[in-house]
Amino acid sequence: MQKGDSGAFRHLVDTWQHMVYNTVLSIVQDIQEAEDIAQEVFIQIFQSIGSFRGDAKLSTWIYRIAVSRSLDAVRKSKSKKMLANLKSKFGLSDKEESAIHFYHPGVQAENKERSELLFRAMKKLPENQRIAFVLIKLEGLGYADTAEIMKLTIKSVEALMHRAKENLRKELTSYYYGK
Amino acid sequence: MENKIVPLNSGFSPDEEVDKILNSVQDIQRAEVPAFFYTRLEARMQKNFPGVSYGSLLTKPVFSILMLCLLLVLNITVMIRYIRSDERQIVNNTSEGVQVVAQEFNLTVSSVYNEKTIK
Repeated sequence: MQKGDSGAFRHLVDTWQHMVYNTVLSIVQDIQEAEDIAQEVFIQIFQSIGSFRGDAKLSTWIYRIAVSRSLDAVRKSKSKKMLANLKSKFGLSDKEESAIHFYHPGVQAENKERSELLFRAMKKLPENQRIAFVLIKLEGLGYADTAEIMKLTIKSVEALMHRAKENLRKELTSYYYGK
Repeated sequence: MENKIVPLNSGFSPDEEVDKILNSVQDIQRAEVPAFFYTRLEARMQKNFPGVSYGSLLTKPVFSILMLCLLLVLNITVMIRYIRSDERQIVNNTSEGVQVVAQEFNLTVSSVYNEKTIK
């Protein structure tokens, strides 16, 4: 692949496409946007495979690109929404950004509605907690792998996960109690 | 997130429900890319980098024609060089043959000095 072998690139895409797509989708929570970002991830891999020195596992390197691309997209979409809401408040636009319900395709039918609430609450988590939660709970990675991807210690990841669960619980509880 | 206020005597336990929500992704399956993902990716890459080839070079007609032309030019060059070297050899061989025959039949032109010594 580092020698520009297109067959090797195809093999790489076939191997990692679901992993990349699932990670991106769980972070951006938009099916159309997730495919675009997943494509961008592979384009970046194609362009920068020469700089991959093999210090980390290939999967770790790919996860890092996927996470960083997804976070960029989330930041962009947040600022877009803020601008749209500001415009609507000042009467410059009729449309106000409304919350779009996201249903992850991998969730079992009986958990569909509940997981929708969870994904909505996840959006309010700080970036680091959100990434740790996605990698561990939705991608099924271990703490060691997550720590490697996030360039943190295992203890830091454990702390992030603890805080993420606490914050999610607070958010969901306030949803029911109206606090 | 909009709040959902629940009546106290409804028999519904929000804490229990929150636990269920937190566990709703327990058996989640990995989402799979939509069909023809690679085809769309390939098209996007070709659009973004038109100069870069992602398929095998040999399958490109322009490349095949170029290679054929190059092969033809090489063949013609080699043939021309071969014919020219053959011609030179023939010329050399002919002049050597004439000299041998001349010596054999004593047809060489004798010089003035040779005539004097005969006398």
